[in-house]
This record gives sequence, structure tokens and C-alpha cells, in this order.
Amino acid sequence: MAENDDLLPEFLAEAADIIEKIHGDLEKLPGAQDRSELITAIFRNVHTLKGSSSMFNFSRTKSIAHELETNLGKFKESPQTLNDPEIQYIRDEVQKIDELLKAKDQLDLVPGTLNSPGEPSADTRADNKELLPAASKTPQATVNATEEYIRVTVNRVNETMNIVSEVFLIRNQMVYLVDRFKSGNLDQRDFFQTWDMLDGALRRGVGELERSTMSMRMMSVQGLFNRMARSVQSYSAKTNKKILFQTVGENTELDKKILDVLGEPLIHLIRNAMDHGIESPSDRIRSNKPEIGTIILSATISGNEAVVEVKDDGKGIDAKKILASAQKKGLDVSHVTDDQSAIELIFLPGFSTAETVSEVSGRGVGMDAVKTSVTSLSGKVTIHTEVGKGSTFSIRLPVSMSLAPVVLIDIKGLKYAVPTSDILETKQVPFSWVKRNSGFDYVNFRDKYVKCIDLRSIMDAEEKSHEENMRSCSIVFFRTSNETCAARVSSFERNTEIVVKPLSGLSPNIPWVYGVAVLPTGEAIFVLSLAKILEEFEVTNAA
Amino acid sequence: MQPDEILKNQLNYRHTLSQDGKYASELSTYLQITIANSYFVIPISEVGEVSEFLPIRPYPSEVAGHVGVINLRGKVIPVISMEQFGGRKESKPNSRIVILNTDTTASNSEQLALIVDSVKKISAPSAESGNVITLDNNPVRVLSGGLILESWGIKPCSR
Repeated sequence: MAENDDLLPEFLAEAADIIEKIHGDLEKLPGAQDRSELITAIFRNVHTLKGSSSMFNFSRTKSIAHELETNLGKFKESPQTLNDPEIQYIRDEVQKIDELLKAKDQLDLVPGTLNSPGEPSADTRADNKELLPAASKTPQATVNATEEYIRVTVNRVNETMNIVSEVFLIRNQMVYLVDRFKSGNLDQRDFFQTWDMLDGALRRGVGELERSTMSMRMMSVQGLFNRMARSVQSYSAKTNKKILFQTVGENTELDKKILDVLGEPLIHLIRNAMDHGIESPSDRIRSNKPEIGTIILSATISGNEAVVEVKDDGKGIDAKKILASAQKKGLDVSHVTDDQSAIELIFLPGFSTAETVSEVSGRGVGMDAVKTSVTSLSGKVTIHTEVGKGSTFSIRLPVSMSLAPVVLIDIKGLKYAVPTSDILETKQVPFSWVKRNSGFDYVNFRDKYVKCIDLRSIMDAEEKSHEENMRSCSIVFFRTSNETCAARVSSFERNTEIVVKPLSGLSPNIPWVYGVAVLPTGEAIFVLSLAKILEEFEVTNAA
Repeated sequence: MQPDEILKNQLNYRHTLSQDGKYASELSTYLQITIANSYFVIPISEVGEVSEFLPIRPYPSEVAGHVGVINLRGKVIPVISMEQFGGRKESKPNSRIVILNTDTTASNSEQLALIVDSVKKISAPSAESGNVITLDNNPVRVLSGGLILESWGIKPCSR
């Protein structure tokens, strides 16, 4: 058993791949010319799952796989008997195996999360507990099971190896340089010049190494979205609801750690949308809506955040009903002041009860579990809903925990950060380069005058003792969506890297502040969006 | 006019009297805070911690009710002004910072910071926030994070 425990994480990772392949083949089945080849591939994969499950004593998984294998054998014999209901049957059975294995995965990796959303039914859990007493009891087994896997292409590994060898070469050149200097074969000027050059190359190399390593953790949301699509397909097949499922931004990449946890809250939101959001075809026709309901799952990157949204065109959430329901359940509603705060009651533990449980979305686990999962990733979940029109659940998450390169600037003695990616150039320019006309300042940039905002007059802070260069001005050139602009600051500090955090929900909403960061000195600084400052400044000016 | 009388005039208070005219006997633990010679109490359950004075970073744009942010061990917490309760704009060098946990909406639990002159832990009759209790024969108002935010019309938003 101990040996098998060592292999368990590997099996689970491999099983996830196999299940993904089976689903891929199932997608191709309806339109395929040679169906027997696809059925054979599915048969072979199910057989592998059965064998491995047997090795780990997963008796329930094994028996499902066994029965499926038997039926697949029949389909192999007579492919013409394989129609939509049969394909759906295979899909459902594979889904069951997937859920069982995923529950197994969670049982070992996070022992305290048995009540997470979208968890398999109670008998599934009992099955796993019963089958794996050793795995859940011995500390050794838990340690083994916490091993995580990332699938990385060989190209990405080779790329990283190349950077490592470059960095190593630079280090050797540095050693050689120091040796030559020590032995008197190099004068001081040459030594420092070459040292500076090598130091610059080393910095670039380390930066590339960081990017390359971080990119290994980044995975596209495609696989996750496919899982959600299957869930919708399987639901549509079981009920009379007609649902069109659309995905947007499947290539968006997220940190693997985030992606792993995101699946459960997302499936819960989608099940909710299908079950409670989208109306029955007859109700939709009565409401002058298309008979087919639409659910759009999208992922986009906004600044340092990924926004994953589940949008449906269903009946929306009625704030009054939610409030009444919460009161009936004895929940604290004293803080409810408006519709939005009433709707947010659905996030309270205990809001979801047997009344709202259905076969699809209800397992007695409420939206509070969705909120808990998202919060555990330093993310936030918000709802926008309109009765009769539909609901949008937005999950905002950090893309990764990586550092953002910024330029620190000084405005009236206070430091601010501007993301390097927003900046075209920072420059000390003579005063004569700045011209004023029709209420605007303009500054010369590459032989062309561009609009210039003076951040020193925009910021409310009082002028602190600060020595400004009296002969020239410090200008940051940046690009908005359609033009190049400039911003005058008191001075430049330096380039650095920081972790940008969102402002607290109690802080005022200043549209041109991306977030806040803490410097190594302990100083909290605001990260500015120059393009949005310009937008705001122009609006104020126009007014 | 004595400070106590000023306080009485300032506050539109409701005593928590039981039917027989005596004060409710149930006691709660509070953090008593002093702001410019005025006293208030905050239920201890709302208080996250009390810290020595920390440098406050003002927002780049002035917004009523908001003083700025502090860095508390890597966590950036907004500082809410106590001017509505007699607090001054500028802080004294020996001021303290009180961190309150607010659970103002179902989906958000946020922390806020207040600048106060001094703090003391006390026991006093239980009362809802906004009510007035009697302490050493003086009326003292019970505050909460929610009440302070409400006084400025600050509504938490999701970011």
C-alpha cells in the first residue's frame, strides 16, 4: 500500500489526462467517419482507468469503468448502435469517474474541505473514506499526496536551460574579470566598464529566468472551460431546458494554483445559472425571450487581475425575495440597506437550504462556499443582476503572485509607482521644451509636441520639503489608447519591483489608482494609471 | 460649559434603561477610546488590535471621511477620519491606532483604522451601537465600525 501511495498523485494526474482525452474523442464521435477507431481509443483509455483504479483499490471507480468497458465492447462490435443517448451515457459515466477521482484527490490533499461546493454526493465520499483508510490516517500518505504536478512543454524547459547557461557564462566572465584585475592585468576604468556591462547582462538574465519560471506555472483556462461545457451538455440532456453555452478568452493564462481551486466555485456558479437562472423554454417564450437560454463563461486579464465571469440571460435575482427568504431562515439582515446588499445575502453561510436544493445545483452547499474558495485565492466575487434579464457573477483574481516592475516617482515629496509597462520613456527635459497653449501644457517628444499633465498640481498632498531640479523638469512619457502623452513629476526615484494589491473595499474609489504596494522601507505607496489621470484631467478641464 | 455637558448636548442619546428604571445588569467588555477630550466605547468583539502610531499615507486625492492608509505588517488598511466625533485632522505624536473588524455586508469583511488619543479596556452595561451608556456617572456613546462608516456615508465596495 505504501508503494501505491507513492504512485497515487502520479496516477491522479495521469487519470485527469486520460479523461480529458476521452472527452475529446467523444466530441469527435458524432461527426466521425470511422467511428470504430475512436471507440477503440475510448475503450483502451477506460480500460487503463479500470486497471489503475483496481491497483489503488478504488472499487467504485473500478466497477463503473468495468461496466462502461463492457458496454463499449458492444458498441465496438456494432458502431451503428452508438447514437446521442449512448454518447451521453459514456460521457456521464466518465464524468462520474472524474468526480470520484477528484474527490479522492481532495480527500488526500486538503483533508478539511469535504464540504466544498460541487463536491460529490455523500455516498461517493463514504466510498472513498472506506476505501482508503490508510491514506487518510497515516501522515506519510498525506505528505506523499501533497505532491503537485505541472505539465510543462519540453520547449519551455529548454528555454529555461538556455537562460541558466547564459547566466552561468556571465558569472564565469565575472570571475575571470576579477582575477585579471587582481593580478594587475587590467586598469580600474576597464574593470568597471566591463563589470557594468556584465552586471547589466546578469540582471537581464535573472529577469528572463524569473519570467520563464513563472510562465511554467501559468496554464490556459481552456481545460477548465471544456469541463464546464461538458457539465452544461450533460445538464441539457437531462432536462427540458435548452442552453447555449459560449466561452470567451479560453487562452487566458492563470497561475496553476489559482486554476486548481477555481474549478469548484465555477462549476457551482454554472450549475446555479442552469438550474435557477435560465427559465424553462415555455417561461422564456412567455417572457418574449429566445427559447434557448445563453450562458457565457469568459476570462479576461485586467491589469494585474484576471476576471472570470459567468453571465446568463435568465430570470435574474429578485432582491426582495432574497431578503424575505433570509429573514425566514433567521439570518441577520440588519445591515441590508439596498437591493445590492440584499442580493449579497446569498453569500451568507446557511442561506442555501434544502428548499433550494435540486439534483443539479443543490447539494446543500451555498454560495458562501464559492465566496470562501475565491477569498482563499485573494480574489473577490461580485454579482450584477437584473430581474427578468439575467445575472453576472464576476470572480476577480490575481493573475499570479509575481512582481510587477515599476518606476518610482516623486510628487511633492511623496513617492508613487507607475507600472513600467505603461511608460514609453522617462526624461529630464529643459524648461524651454514645455510650452503652454489654450490652457494645456505641451512638451516636445521626438520632435513633436505632446500633451503634458502636471501631476504636482493634480495631487492634493501638501508640498513637502523636496529639492527639485530647477533647471529642467522630470517628464514621464506614456501612451494612451490613441496618443502619446506626458506627465510632469517632481523627480524620478528609481526602478524597482513590487507586488500590487487592490485597495481595501473601504477605501475611496479613485479611478486612476491601480492599487497599493508596500516598499521594503515599510512605506505604503499608490500605483498610478497615468492614462486614467489624463482622462480625468481632461474631463475636469472640459467641465 | 463642562465637557460632559457639551457631550450631552452633542449626542442624541437613548439610555438603555430597563423597565424598573435601573440600568441593565448584563455587562460587556469595551475598548474605551478618547478623542480630543471626548470618550466613546467600542465593543471589544469589534476590535482587531491596538497599535502604536504608524505613519499614515494620505490618498493622492482628498476624499471626505478618508485620512489615508497605514501599513500594518504588510497589510494596507484604510484610516477613517473621526472628525464627525470630535477628532482632529492632525494626530498627536503619542496617538494610538485602533484596528476595527467590520462585517458591513454579507460579502465583505474589511478592517479599518482609527486614530485615537488613548485607549482603556473597561466593563460596562451591554448596549447596541449608537446607544449611550453611563460610565463613572458620565454618558458615553457606543460606537462601532459600521456606525463610523455610516456617519460619513461610506459604503464598502468590492474590488
